[in-house]
Amino acid sequence: MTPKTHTRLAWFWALTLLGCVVLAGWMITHGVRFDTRVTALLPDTHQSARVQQANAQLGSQFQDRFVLMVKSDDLPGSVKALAERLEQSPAVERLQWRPGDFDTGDPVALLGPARYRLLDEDLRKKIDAGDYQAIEQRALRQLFMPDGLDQHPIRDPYGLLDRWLAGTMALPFRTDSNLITLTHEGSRYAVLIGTLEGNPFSQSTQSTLHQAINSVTAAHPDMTLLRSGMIFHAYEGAQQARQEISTFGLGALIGLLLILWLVFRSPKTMATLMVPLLAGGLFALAATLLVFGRLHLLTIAFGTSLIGIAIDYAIHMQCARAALGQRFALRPMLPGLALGLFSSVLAFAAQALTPMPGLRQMAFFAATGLIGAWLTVVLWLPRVTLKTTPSAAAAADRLWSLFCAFKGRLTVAWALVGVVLALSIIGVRLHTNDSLQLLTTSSSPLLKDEQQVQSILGRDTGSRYLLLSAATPEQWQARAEMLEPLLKRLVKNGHLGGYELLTDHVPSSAHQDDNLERTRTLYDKTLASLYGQAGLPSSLIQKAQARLVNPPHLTLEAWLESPLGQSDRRLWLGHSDTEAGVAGVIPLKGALDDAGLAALERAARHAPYLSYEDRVARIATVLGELRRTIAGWVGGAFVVLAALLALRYRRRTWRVMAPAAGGVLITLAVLALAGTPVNLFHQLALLLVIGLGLDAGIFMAEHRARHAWLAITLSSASSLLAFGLLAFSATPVLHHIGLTSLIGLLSVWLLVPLVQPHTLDLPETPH
Amino acid sequence: MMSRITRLILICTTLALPINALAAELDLNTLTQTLSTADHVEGRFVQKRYLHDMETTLTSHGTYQFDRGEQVIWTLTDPVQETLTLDDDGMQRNGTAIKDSPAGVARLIMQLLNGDFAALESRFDIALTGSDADWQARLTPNSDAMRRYLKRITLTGGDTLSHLEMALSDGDTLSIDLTQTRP
Repeated sequence: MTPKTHTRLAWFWALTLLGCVVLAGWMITHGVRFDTRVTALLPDTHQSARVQQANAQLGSQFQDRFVLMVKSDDLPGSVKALAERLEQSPAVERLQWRPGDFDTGDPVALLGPARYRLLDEDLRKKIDAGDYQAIEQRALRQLFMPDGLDQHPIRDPYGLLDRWLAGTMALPFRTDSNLITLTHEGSRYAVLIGTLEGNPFSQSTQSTLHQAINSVTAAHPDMTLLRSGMIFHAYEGAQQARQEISTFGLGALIGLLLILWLVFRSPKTMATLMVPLLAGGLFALAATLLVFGRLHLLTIAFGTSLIGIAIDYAIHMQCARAALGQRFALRPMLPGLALGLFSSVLAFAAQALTPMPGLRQMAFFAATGLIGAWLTVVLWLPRVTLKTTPSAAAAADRLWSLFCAFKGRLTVAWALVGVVLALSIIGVRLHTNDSLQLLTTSSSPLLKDEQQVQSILGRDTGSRYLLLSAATPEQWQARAEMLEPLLKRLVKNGHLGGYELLTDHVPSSAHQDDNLERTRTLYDKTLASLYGQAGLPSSLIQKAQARLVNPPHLTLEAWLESPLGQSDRRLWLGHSDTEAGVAGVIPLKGALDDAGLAALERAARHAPYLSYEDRVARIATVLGELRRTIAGWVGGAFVVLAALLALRYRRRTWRVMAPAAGGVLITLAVLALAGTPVNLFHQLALLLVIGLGLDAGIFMAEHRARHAWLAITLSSASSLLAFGLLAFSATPVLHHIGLTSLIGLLSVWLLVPLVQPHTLDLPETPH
Repeated sequence: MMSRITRLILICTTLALPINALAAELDLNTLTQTLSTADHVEGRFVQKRYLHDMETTLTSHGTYQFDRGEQVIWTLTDPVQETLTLDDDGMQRNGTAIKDSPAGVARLIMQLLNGDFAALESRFDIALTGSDADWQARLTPNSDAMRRYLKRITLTGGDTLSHLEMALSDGDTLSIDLTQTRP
């Protein structure tokens, strides 16, 4: 490459990056989608649109709303203060805390015409048993002293509407003091339900809500709050992670700057190490947005492992320049740098071939980021003048004596013994665990609050449910009613906490027809006697019976559109664009034991239109699948890479591969011995270990120079500071990444000298 | 939404029962004060339900008992037997608990038993007229949900509450005449 070409390429790269800034900026400001759903990582065929729709619909109650239960000596005063503060808060779109805040519409208009077809279970049983006397007595009393809606001698002499409402929609609430209250274990709680204005994961929404609640609890010390809702969990998780990242981040930054200063003694040189990171990140962002049109947040998290590798090229380049001074030339550097890039990109690109769209995006992001950083290092860094410092050479020399102490201690034979030992430990003892619970960051008081509120209010997170489909709404209702006996039995025998069935509120039309028959029987048997006792003229009997001739059915559509049926809307998926027919869900509440689960799965096996879904378990499955896929493809890439590198390094190949492979094996063996189950996040950190390990092996093999060992040491130290420190984090995800990096990077660093030939002796770096 | 008409009646009754001790200055504060000093009251009632579209009146009789802050017992004796009880534990019909109405019906009565006028005022516009010897209270619902069924409640009395009338939106009325026998 002539200097002229190099200049041109450098300019071209600058223009490309400028284009990236414009493109990424434009796409982000024009509503690019940031995806947070773990399920978005799954191949499309793995999850039907129905399940996605059901998850979104059922989850929104928990995600977009929150519930507060307040206990206080001065309940009205405390609740009013809290409600007023929350209503003013920009984080809260709507707050419901007074009886008047719940719009129930007009039940008489909605259910009145169909009431003769709506009989609650108690009344049905009484009529079927011919037990008319109690019904008649109650009807008579209500004629003289109506105690419900529209209890009229002609329209509803038996108070059917009121019985239906009381039988199917009774709530545990009381509305004294113009609050919504309930009593639980002797304590009286007021209930407030809030709808969020923004996303529960948005930092500003979280802190605004947190501040609002805190200011009120501070002013009312006698007030106790039970909290339920995604936002509280998200807040705690984010809070902890932020705090730790800033603590560790600051520590790491100071440490990193200190080390780099010791070697380079130049702020400018230190800055040049960061430029490739920024350029690589920018290039990856723009390229990913351009190709995928959206960005998954896990991709960005994953991108952090890229940072550690990307800084590698810059460190190698600058170490060589600092150490070699005038003798530095770009050309001899290129094979090592190119192989380093090639090996890492291959490891990532392998994953781009997997059938998982999310993983493809991650791999693409990492690979383009590495390429971007590499181009920046090669095209720009040599153009920045670098002061040759004696300190760099001195550091290289000091480190070299350390290198010599370890050099060649590991022979092929011992290495093989180590590999066999590690593999057998891993094979015997290594466990995996993909459960989401491992990742939870919520404090135990919050989890207790959540559990209490959910059990008191019968609220659920919508994570476990039955998905039921049918050709028509009518068929759906009939199928749901067929399921009811099973669900009832499970609840009765204690296998299941409870369930929410749409047909409890809107029976199938066949069922409604049966009920109408019962009502007719009731009228025939008792209406004359009832009128007689009440002193009403018998001429009116016909008028009352005329209402039973052909009353309308209560339709699912009418119910779901009404204010009263509003809370049932989440249960109905209706028609979809992609699938024929209709679908709805039956959320399961409370505990579900193994016997219950087995019974439900058995039912689902026998009915193709029924499936049991567990969102939490499914996410765990996704994470597990992701983990296994990454492991498989990286393993495969490793083998291919070994074969390719063997073309260049021949018998030395094992020395090149050993740091990366050994780092992985040692890390896994240590985790296995410690009994720590491995999850996706351990494995993402292993990618960092592999990337750095390969770079280290290649650079050592290519340069056999003291500056290479200096660069490997610096790059290990910086990654150890950036990631290894996270091992001490209390946030599970960060801890997993940190622990893996700590063990893996230390192993890589130690393995580099250990596997070099005993005879290797490098010339002193000229001063 | 107000659906349990009975409860309204009970509420209004309890609201008015201690009014015999009402001071000359007729306002809600005095009423609240009076409520909190009231004791045990009982008597008989005649209840007439007028059905507008049938031009029929259904008449019933019974007795009432009121222990302030503790319990209200409303007993129909003729032509049908029924006892409604309201206390801290909620409302019972013939000893069996009645579930609270699904649509979020208030146990308004408790507010009154606790002298919680602020809460009652949040649902009704209350107008008091007359003197302590001859007064009238008009309660007009202030929410659309309640107005759908209930037009207004009128309470009249002198030393004691003597008459209660509920005008429903469909033209029906429920009127109750009370006669105090004790104390």
